[in-house]
Order: sequence, then C-alpha cells, then structure tokens
Amino acid sequence: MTEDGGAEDSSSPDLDSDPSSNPAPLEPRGNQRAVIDSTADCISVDAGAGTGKTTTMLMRIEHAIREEGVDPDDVLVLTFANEAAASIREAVTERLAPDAAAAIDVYTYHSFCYRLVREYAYYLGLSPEFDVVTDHGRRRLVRRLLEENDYDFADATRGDGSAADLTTSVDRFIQGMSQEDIDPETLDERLPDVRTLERLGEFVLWLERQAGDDLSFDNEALRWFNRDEHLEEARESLVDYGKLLTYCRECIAEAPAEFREDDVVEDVERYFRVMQRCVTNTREALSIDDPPTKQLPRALFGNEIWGRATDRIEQTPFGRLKHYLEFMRLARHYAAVYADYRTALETERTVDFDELVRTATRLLDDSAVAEEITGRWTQVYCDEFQDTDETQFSLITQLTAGADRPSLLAIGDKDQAIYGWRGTDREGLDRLADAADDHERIALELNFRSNQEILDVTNHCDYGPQSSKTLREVDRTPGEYREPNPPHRVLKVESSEVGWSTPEQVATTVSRLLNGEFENVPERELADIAVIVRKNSHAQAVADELGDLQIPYEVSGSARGEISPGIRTLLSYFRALVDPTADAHLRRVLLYRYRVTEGDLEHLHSRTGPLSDAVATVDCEPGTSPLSDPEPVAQAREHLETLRDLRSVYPLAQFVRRFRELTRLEWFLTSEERTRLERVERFVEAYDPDTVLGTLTPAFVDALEGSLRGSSTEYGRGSHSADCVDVMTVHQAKGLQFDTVLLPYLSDEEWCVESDYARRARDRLLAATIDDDVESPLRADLAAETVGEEWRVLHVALTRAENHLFLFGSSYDYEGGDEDGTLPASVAESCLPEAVEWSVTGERMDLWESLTASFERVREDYPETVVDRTEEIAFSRLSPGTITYYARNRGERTVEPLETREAIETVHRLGRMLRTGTLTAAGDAVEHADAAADGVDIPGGRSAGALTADTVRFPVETLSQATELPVAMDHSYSSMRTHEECARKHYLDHVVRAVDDPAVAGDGDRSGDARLVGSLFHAVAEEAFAREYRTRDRWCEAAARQLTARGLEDHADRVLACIDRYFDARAADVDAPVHEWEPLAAELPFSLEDVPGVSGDVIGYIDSVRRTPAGELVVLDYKATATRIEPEDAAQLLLYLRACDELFDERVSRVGYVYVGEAGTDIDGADGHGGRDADHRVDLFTRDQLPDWTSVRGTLEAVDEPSFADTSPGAHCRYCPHRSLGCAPAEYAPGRGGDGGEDGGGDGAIVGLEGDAGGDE
Amino acid sequence: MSDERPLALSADGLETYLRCPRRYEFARVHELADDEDDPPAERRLDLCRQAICDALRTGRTDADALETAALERFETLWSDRDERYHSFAQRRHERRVLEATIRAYVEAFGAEHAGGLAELRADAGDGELIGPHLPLSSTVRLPERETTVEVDAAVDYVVGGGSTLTGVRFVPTLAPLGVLRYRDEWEGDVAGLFADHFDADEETFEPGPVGALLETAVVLDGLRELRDRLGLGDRRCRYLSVPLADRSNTTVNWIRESVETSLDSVDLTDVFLDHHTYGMTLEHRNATVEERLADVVGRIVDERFEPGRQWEQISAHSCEDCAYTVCCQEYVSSEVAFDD
Repeated sequence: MTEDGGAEDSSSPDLDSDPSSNPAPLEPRGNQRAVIDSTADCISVDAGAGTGKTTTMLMRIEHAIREEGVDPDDVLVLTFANEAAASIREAVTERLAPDAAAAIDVYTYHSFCYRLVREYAYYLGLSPEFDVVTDHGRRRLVRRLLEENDYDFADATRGDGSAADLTTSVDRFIQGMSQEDIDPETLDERLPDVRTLERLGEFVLWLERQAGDDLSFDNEALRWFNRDEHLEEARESLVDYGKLLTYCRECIAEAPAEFREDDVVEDVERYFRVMQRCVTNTREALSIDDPPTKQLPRALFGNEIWGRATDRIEQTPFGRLKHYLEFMRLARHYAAVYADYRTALETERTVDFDELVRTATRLLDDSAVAEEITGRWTQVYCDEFQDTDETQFSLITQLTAGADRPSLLAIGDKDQAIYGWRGTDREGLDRLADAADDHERIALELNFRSNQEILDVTNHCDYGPQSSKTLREVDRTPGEYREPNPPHRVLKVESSEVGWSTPEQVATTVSRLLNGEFENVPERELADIAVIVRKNSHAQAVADELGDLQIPYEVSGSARGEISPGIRTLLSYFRALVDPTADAHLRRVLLYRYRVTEGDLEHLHSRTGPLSDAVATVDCEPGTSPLSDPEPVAQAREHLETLRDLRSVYPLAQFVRRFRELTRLEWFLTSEERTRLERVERFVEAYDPDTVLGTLTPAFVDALEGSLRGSSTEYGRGSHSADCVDVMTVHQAKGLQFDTVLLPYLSDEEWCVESDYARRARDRLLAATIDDDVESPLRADLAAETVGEEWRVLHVALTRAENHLFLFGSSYDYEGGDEDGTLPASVAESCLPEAVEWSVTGERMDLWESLTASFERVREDYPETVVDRTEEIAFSRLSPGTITYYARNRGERTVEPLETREAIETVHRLGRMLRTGTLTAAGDAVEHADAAADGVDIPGGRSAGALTADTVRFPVETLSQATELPVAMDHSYSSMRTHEECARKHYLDHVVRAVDDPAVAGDGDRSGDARLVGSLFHAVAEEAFAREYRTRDRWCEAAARQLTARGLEDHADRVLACIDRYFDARAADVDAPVHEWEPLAAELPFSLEDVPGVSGDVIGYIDSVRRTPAGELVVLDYKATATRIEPEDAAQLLLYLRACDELFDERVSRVGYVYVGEAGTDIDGADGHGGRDADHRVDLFTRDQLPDWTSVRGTLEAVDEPSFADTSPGAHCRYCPHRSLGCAPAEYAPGRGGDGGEDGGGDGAIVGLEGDAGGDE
Repeated sequence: MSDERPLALSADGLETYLRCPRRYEFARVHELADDEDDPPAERRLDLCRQAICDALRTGRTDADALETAALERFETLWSDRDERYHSFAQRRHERRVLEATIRAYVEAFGAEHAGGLAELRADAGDGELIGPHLPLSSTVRLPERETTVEVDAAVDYVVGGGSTLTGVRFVPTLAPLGVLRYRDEWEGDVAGLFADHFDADEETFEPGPVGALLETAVVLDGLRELRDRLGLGDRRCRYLSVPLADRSNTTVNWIRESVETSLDSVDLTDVFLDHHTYGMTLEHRNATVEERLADVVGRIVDERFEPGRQWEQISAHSCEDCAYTVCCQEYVSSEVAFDD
C-alpha cells in the first residue's frame, strides 16, 4: 500500500486491474499522457501526492520498450532508499516480461556510485576492495584524530570539555558540512581567522556583562518598575548600553585595516548600529503603564528568554550575535579536524558516502572514461527527485548532460520535499531546466487517492512563502458529493477546548471509530487508522495512551531507542563477560537467564567483592552450600567460565554461535526478539574493529548496543499494519496512505517553537556566512526555508488520508495571552529596526490559524462532509471509550464471523454495572425481564467474544475505573495456579513470558496439545453460553467453527472428546447432568482489589456460573487436565467464591470442578480421594471444605514477588513447556512410565496412561 | 544485607532511597558498581574543595592571602592529576575555569568565612573544624523499634558568626535543590511539596528537594552535636550549600585568555525551619521533616526496598537515569508486564 509501489496504482480507480491476473495495459489519465509521449531530452515532472508518480514512470518505461523498441538493457532507474528500489523492481517485474524486467538496472544513488567507483577503482587509484566509511566509522575516525593530534583549541560550549562530547560535536559538524558540500578549504578561505573572531568575541563579553549588570532584574529599577524614576533609571541604563555599542564601534574603527576590513567584522560593525537603533526603540517602548515592557531590556540584550515571562521570544538581537560568533570560532577550529578527516580518508584510500557520489561524478566528468560509462544507457529515470542533494544533482546532470548522453526523466513532488535538513534541494526539479537545453516541464495534479474535501484542505491552505500545486480528485465534479448522505470527510477538533490531553483525545477518537460510535463516520477497522505526528515524542505519547486503552498499536521505528528485555539480557551477558565488575549486568543474567532465586542472589551480594567473584567462589555442593538452590549458580558459573575461555579463542562470529548454543538464551526471547537476534548476527559479521582478530571486546559491546538502540532507520519509512493502529511521524508516513488519518498536535507550539532559535540555527548562520547571496548573516531571515519545509511536512501529512481526515490542533498565542506579565512577541518585534529581516519568534507558521481558515473555506463548499467535532470529543468521555478491540482475524475467517461488536457492548455494559455497583446477582438474570423493569442493569445473554485467549483476557479494571492500569503486576488465577505448581514455570510464563521449548518434530508436543485442547474447550464453552447452545450437536458445531477458524482441525478428536465428557458429567448428589443446570454466566471477569499484601489487583475469569435444578447457585471451573484437585488445595475456587461475594448479592452455595480431560475416565474411587464418587466428573465443595483464606493470600503474596523460588519438580513437569531448562527429573520425561510419581497412586495411574499414549518417542 | 555488616546510613543515601528504594538496595546494600564513572563535575569539585579547605586551614583571614594559598595548593593538586583532554589548550582552559571558581569563592565568602573560622577556633580548642568532608552524624530515634540509628553527613567546614554556627558544604550545582533555591520559608510551597512527595496519591515526586531537607535535618543535628562536643555555647546552627561546578555564570575571554565566574549559594536553614517547632525548641528544627526522617531511616533499617505504591512515580522519574534498571526486578517486570 505505498503510493510509489505498483500495488496502490493497480487499485486506483482509473487503473483498476486485478494484480493476480496479467496486468492490463495502464490507461494514462490527465497529464500522464504528456509524460509518456514527451520526446524532450530532459523532462522534469512535478507530480503531486497521490497522482501516481511511480505508475507514470513505469508507463513511460513500458511505452519505451514496447512501442519505441528501447532495449531494456539501456534503461537505468535511480532511487533514494533501498525500499524504493525494491518496490520499483517489484513493479517492473509485474508489468514486463521477466527477461526485460531483469535487464533494467534499478539502483539507489549510493549503490550506483559504489558499483561505478568499484569498477574504476584501479583507474582511480583505489583498491577494488575499498571501504565506504559509515556514519559509525566517521565518528570513530574523528575520535582517533582528536586523540592523536593536539588541535590547540578549547571548547567551552560543551560544558566539561570531555572527549566524548567533543567527538559528537565535531562529528556532527563534519557531517553537516559534507552534506552541504562545503569543503575544509572553503571554510579556511571564507571564515575570518581565530584571532579576529576572538576579538569580536570580546565585544560580546562586554555587552553581555553590561546587560547582566544593568539591564537584568539585578537592576532594581527594572525589577520593581512601578514608579516614574524607575522608568528614568531604566532608560538611563539603556543609554549606557548604547554608549557601550558606540565604544565597540570605535574600537573597530581604530583597529588595523586587516581587522577592520574583514567581511565578518564589517557585518558586525553594521550590526552594532542596528542594535543601537534597537536600543532606542526599546527605550521608547518602555512604559510603566505596560509592566511587561520591563522584560524587554533583559530579553533583547541579555538573551534571557527562558522562564514564563519571556518564553514567547525565541530570538533576540544579542542572542543572534553571540551564537553566531561563538559557533564561527568553533567552526574555525573544527575545520582543522575536518581537513585531517578528508586527508585520512585519502591516505587510507577510503571514501564516505558523500565522497562516493563525488568520486562517481568525477568519473562522469573525465573524458577518458565518461563516454564508456554513459554509453551504457539511453534512458535514465530518477524517482523522488525533490530529495536529491547537491552532490547527487551534479551526478545526475553529468550523467545526462548533452545530446550524446542518456535522456532523463526526473519525477518528484516539490510540495513533498521534506529532507531539506539533510541538505536536499527542493528546487532541483526546476534547476534541471537550466542544466539541459531540450527540457520539458510537466505537472501532475490528478489525484487517485483522496476525497476532494481532503485535497481542498491542502489546496486552500496558505503555505507561507511558497506556492503549491492544486490537487483534484479523479472523476469528481467539484462541489458535488459522490453519494447521497455522504459520511464526514474532514473533521476538526479544537484541542484546547477539550478538557483533556491531546493523546486522550486521539485515543478516544480511535476507540469511537473502532466502535462505530463516531457520528456519521462508518465504523473503522484497526488497519484503516493511522495517527501521524510531527515528532517522535508525540508518537510515544499517543502510543502510551492507546496502550492504556488496550487498543493495539504499532509505533514505526523505535521512538525511544529502547532495547527489548530479552535482547537487553543478551547485551548484559556480553557485558558481564567482558567486564568482571559489571555487577548489575551479571545480576540480570543470573536473575533472568539462570533464575537464581532472590534469596540466593541476596546471599551472593552479601559476600565481599564483586558479584562475579561471589559466583566463582560460592560453595555449590548440594548439602554444604549456603544457597538454597546451588544448581543454577553452578550452571551460571560453568557457563561464564567456558565463555570467558572461548572469548579469547574464537573470533567474534563463532563465539556468538557458541554462546547461543551454550546458554540457549533464545528460549528466553520472544519471537520478535529472535528476529532481532539475526540483526545481532549480521552486526557481528559486519563489525570491523581496528584489531586484526575480532573478539568480544568492550568496544564491540558498546558498538552493538549503539546499533541496537540506534538510528539505523534514518530514511526510515513506517509500515502499514494489518491489525494495529499505526502511529508514526510524518517523515515515516511519506509514501504511505491510510483510509483514516488522525493528525494531532497541529500547533506552532509543537511544530516550530524553539527555546533559542539562534542557537539551534547555528549551522544555518555559518552556511549563510559562506553563501555569497546572503548580504548580512546577522540580519538575514534564515528561517524562511525551514518554515517552508515545515509547511511541506504538513502537506505530506494532510495528503496521507483517503477517506477521513481528523485535525486536532490549537492556536499558539505568541502574545502571551492572559498570563500576567508575559512579554508579547509583537511588543519585542516592534523594537527591532527595519534592517533586521528576522523575527523574534524565529520560525513562525501560525499553523492552526492557516489550517482553520482553509477548513472554513472547504466547509463552505462541502457543508455536509466537513465538520467541527470538538463537542463530540469533549463529551465522549462520558461513555467508556476504553475497550479492548482485538479483531485480528476478522476478514480472514472462512466461517461466519463472531459478533465482536455485541460482545464489546456487553462488556461495556458489564463494566458500567461494575462501576455503578448495579451489577445484580447473576441468579436474577434468569428473571431479567422483571429486573429490567426496575431499571436495573443485569447481564443477559452474551455474544461470544473474539477467539484467542489473548482476546478475552483483558483487565476488567480498564472498564471499572478511570485510573491507569497497574503497570507492574496483575494476578490472574492462572498465573497463581502456575506459581503453586512450580515457581519457575510461573516466572517463565507470566513474568518473563519466555517462549515454549521448540517442539521436537514427530513427538506431537503432547504438553502443548493438552493446553491447547483445554483452551479450545473453554472457547467453545464460552461461545455455547453466548449463543445459548444446549445440545451436544450445537456444541460440536461451535467446536468445528473454533477449530477451523484457528486452523487446528487436527485437534478435533480430542476437543470433541472433551465435549462428550462434559455432556456425560454429573455430580455425586445431583441427578441432572451438569449441562442441564441453568447457565447464568460464562467467562465472567472479576477483579479483586486491595488484597492485603498484594500490589495490583487480582484478576481472573470464572468459567461458569450455574443454578442446579435444586436452586443452588454454583460456580464451576472446567478442567481439561488430568489431576483431580483436593478441596484443601482448591485455593482457586476460594478466590472465585470471594469474587462472587463481591459480584453478586445471592450467596454461592458450592463451587467445583468439571473434569473434561481425557485422564478423568480412568479415575477410580479406590485411590484415597476421600471416598468421593469417581464416576462423577463434577466435584462440588462447600465453603467449609475449602482452604483457609490466609493460605490463598500466602500464595498471592508469593506470586506478587516477581522473584522465583525453587523449581518444584513433580508430575506437572511432564506438561511443562520449559523442559529444556533441565529442571525436571528424568522420571517425568515424556514417554516414560509414571511409576516414579510421588503424588500417590491416582496420579501415578494418570501419568502411566499419558505415558502410554505419548509413548511413540 | 547480612547481619554482620555494620549499619551505615548516610544523608546522601537517603536521597537515593527517596529516588527509589530499589536503587538504594543495589547501590548501598549490594554495592553493585554502576556504569557511570564519577562525572567530571564531581572530580573537578574535589580539586577545588581540597584547595579551599587547605587554604582555610592555613588560618589566613586576609582575602588576598587566602586566594594565594588556595591557588598555590590548587596548582600542586592540578599537576598531580591526570585527565585526558583532546588538547593542551583544553587542559589549560579547564584549569583556568577552576582557578576562576576559586577566586570567585574567595571573593564571595573567603574573608568572611576565614574570619568566622578564626572566631570559632578560639572557642573550640583542638576540635577539627575543616574538612574536606568533616564528618557529622545525627542520632535518629526510632520510637517504634525502641532503638536509635546513626545517620552520617558531612560538611566541608564550619564557621562561626556571632551567635551562629554554619556548616558549609561544597556541591557541584544547586540544581537538585529545585524550588528550594527560590524559597525562603517552610510554610506554604515547601511544606506542601514535602507532604505531597510522600503521598502516593499525589503526582508530586521531588526526591531532590525532599532529600535536601532530610539532609538538612541531619546536618543541623550533627552541627548541634559538634557544637556541644566542642563546647561552643548555644549558637544556632545553619547549613549553607556552595556550588563549585556550575558553569552557567562563567564567561571566557579568549583574547585575554581569562575566565570569570561568580558563585551563588543557598542557605537551606530558613527554608527548613518550621516556626512552630522553633517556637517549641528555640532550635532550628522541623518536626515534620524529622519525623519523616525517622520513618525513612526505619524503612531502610527494616530493609524495605520494594517501591510499592510509589512505583508509578518512580518509574516515571527515576528509571530514566538509573544504572540499575538492567537488573531491577520491578523494572523488568514492568517491561514484560502482562498487558504490555
């Protein structure tokens, strides 16, 4: 679904074709025909968003090959990113004959240059194996240069002058200069010498000091500023400051000509005059009737623009001067490192990315080889041409210059040029006209993506200093609707008028869209919706809120640069290996890989010396060891010792392989993390340390961590998820389209307000110094281009939406609004003399105002579809917008979809009842008609929920309380049960969420099966309840559906057997079988709050609530497992009782288990099960038979500690999915007879049976 | 913590505990090394601290003489010190910054404090008045446990001044004091902030200022103990923080190769002092803070290191810069929480 790939275009209304069949010839629309037919040597196509850029390019290629007999070998396509190259390659393959498609060259700029340079390496004096220095390599080289040379300068801006900070700073400088194509020689030539800059710096110091003394609030006249004499004194101080400026100018005038006549000095001298004018204006602006004016002197001349009173000011006359001169001084020094960096590349015969392109360009300019190269192609196509930078532009023009070189089709969208900050040149498309003699310019404006309402919002928007193309929806008459009663297309929300935060507004909107609750917008699915934001921090805030509402989302890229827990453990393990003092990392490894108990960890910590010593020396002999479980520590010790040996022996890649084999760390990783492991392996293979033999070193671990955290997705494009709400930045969204797009944070505050603009624009100030077109860098407005780019970013954002566009924003008040004492931007602005071209607000868009104006205009044309929905959002919180909406398989099911919506509504209702305390006894539900008449909500029938265990397990407190979810721990009874059974398993299942052991082929994975069968049966039972199925046949039907939907037909026999057993099940003292007992509720969620000693709530689901023919209210739990549970062990049931006491008015008489597992058939009464009648599959217990509440609490408290105690080996080990950990004694191995069980004859018999059944190993 | 280890509580540690009890356990009980070296600011601070204390120890009270002594001492310390910079120019520059700091100290406090020291020494006999790290300790009573615990703190020197005894502590910057820098009384903002920090239902999470208040309680009590031990009469005790590694006021003149700076300071006594308690005791005390101090100390003694209900605040504020998240059970649990 990319706008540049073929997929979108094949589904476009005009290019409709079934991608699976042979593609029909594409039918050009609008100006596309002109592009295809043009015979100019150089064509630049400015193609708007959604106008089929790539399709048009493909059509021209196809036309050339089919109609004009161009040999596919002669076609070259260049793109920016690898993704784009891949999608073009795919599209070409789809449309052309395979051999023709394969003959076309598709490259990225870098891969193209790399191949050229490699081919001509000998000619260029390079080794064909030459290296390309990556960003990482550049930084390493810079660090080395700084270490090896004495550059004789001090950097005072970085705080402590530490080497790492300085490296970062110089590295960034070199990167910036290189992108701008500014070489060290130019800097050397154009910048004044250090001495000159230092002398100018002295003026800055004088001015700063005087402003600090006299113009700040240290001056009482300005601090109080409420009497006439204060005004007088303040004005005097300004006069004195003006005198100092005069003095500075005199100093320049009297200086030697060499200094005086330097361009920069002259500019500074003129700027002092401007500042004097500004002082005069400020003097006049001061007024005790207007108290905020007292802020002017300290802001404008002291650059004090932090704090509430002056934070509307982002740039000041003095700040501009100070940052300009300070950065030039640094640049002057950094240029020396930059020069050495270039030299180092040359002597080491390597190139960086920019140099790679320049080298290739030189080849094309070299008459000896140019013809040979350019003769290979007759047609060159460049995609996304607005993103070419200076060096790439030169490459392309060289490649296609003149009649004897290939023709060029450059296609791009000037309105979507959003990489200016990386040095790209949006005007490239236009400049081609100057570069080529035979040039034709064509614009594409017919849009195949969005509704006209959406296009008009962007068409009518005032983009500041630039014009933009006018986009038209294909086949739509302006001003008319496509259908009667059209849905809303463009919806606006005034964020500041809604009483809660922007992320909350977004999440609520998403929730309502998913529920179909949004007025006049049809219900949307997860895949339809994208939230597109300006900054990563916005994405994270929105994601957090969606997460709180349990709405599945995916944030593109790693906004926080965080490393997932499992990979973190891997890094920690490496860290512990290379650094014996890395105690914290070793602790993690012990805790999360070796599962050393907290008590034992405490003991290890309490020994003297570092933790690694304690691990190495502690006595691990069973019997004498001070540890409660020495085995894990012994294992950890053994692994650590082995790995430390291997580390020095093996090269990196092999070491990592051995590491994985030995530690089996993968089993503690999620499936996602396992794929990350591949990335680690790739990194290991590519890692090229300076040493000859790469071994595991601290530097490697640092580099690996950096890479895993890092910004590897610089050109990163987001992705369109099928089952999540996508959250991404505009830059990531470029090239994608979504049915419904939400754009929050549309406000200057979030887009262009910066604390100190001049400081942030230091690079631009420097570039302006070198640029001949800029007369005075100090006075020029350098923000125009960046503001223009911000507008284009907005354009990209607006044009992502196909059907529905939501705009959330607010005005940013540059005047300070009602806040007392705040200095309005306009007052400060009025003090600036005319000669100053920049604004005190730095960059300013008035984004929301402009967008709102456009919105109003479009609303006039389309009053039915363009609406303000602020009120709907403002009041929507009254109904719960917090739901779980996991409909993952919707649309893929071959069977009738279950009615998720109804389930959701029921859950909502239940939630409301929980909250309002009107949930009545479930028993009353039988006579719900009466109760309903009383206006009391009761749970009636339910529709089945979605299918998987995940889908139904969501914490009910999202509904019942407004507060956030407890992050740390929730306790479900299943986790508690696991804990009782085996603490280690609990840890793996519920805390670490370790994946199960890999299934061994052929063994049928009995343990996993048993659990799967259990959960399938539960799902069937739930559906049966919801659909009021009472017969065996209907249950089997439901089972068939469930099995098919999950592709688990293989398990049909076992599930159906469970159903049979359920229909046979009866209790000892009740005549009717259990299936005839009146069902009142199924999968009933509960939440026990404030269990003493337990943090977080205890949550769970009650399988079934029923009324026996005798009228007893009973709670039942289905057991698909083998073992009968004694009443004194039935803590779980006690928990249910307690929950029911809270949920219902009527008291539950008995609780019990219904055994539907296969082993149940063989239970006989002779095994000491307290004489219960084993013919009955239902065990019912009274309250008195159950264990004491304190024992349940004990268990809960134990679970609450996210530690894990010992393993407790036993019969459950047979079914444990973590057997690979080796904690299960051999006698419980699957396939062995169960005669070693310690749980008595009954269990022994069961194990034996299971053993027989699974004994095919 | 095992029983054989002596209980060592420090005022610094209390602040760590306020940031996160688990962090306290890792750093102070298990003594796990964290990834961070001493930040440069700390190391620089130590050089200046040592030089100034040594200069005060000479007994000179004249500002110029004091400055000379401090700078001479600093020169020796600096030349013994080995820190890598990318250039000699940078090294020279760093040195100038430190020298400027010392000069700024002498200008702001030197003569007055040297005089105050001399005055005190006359009364104090042989008692040590100058550090660095002059140890103080406060005995905190834990009524519920019927026991007492010593909490250590340190100032760098103490000076007299009429009826007062002031402990002076060099700190890197005043930033951790937060709002305390801008307030001069307990009642109002500060009392509210203090109460809210300990209220798990409030969003306020201010371990910096709250820790500083607990530390002030310890220091003032320690000073009173010192006063009584040295027989310094009934002087009222005060506590002053002086930042030596704050570069926000530093200006560099590259032409003249000179660096200038100025020093602020914060007297925590006034913002700590609660007038009600003062009325009862006529000492610079604060019953609220002292009760809370006993409570926090009690928790540490009981080894209560679970973040508990404050986890939400802690995870929002403290985890970001914590070196122990990597091995912290709470943190990892939250990463792998059930409903992530």
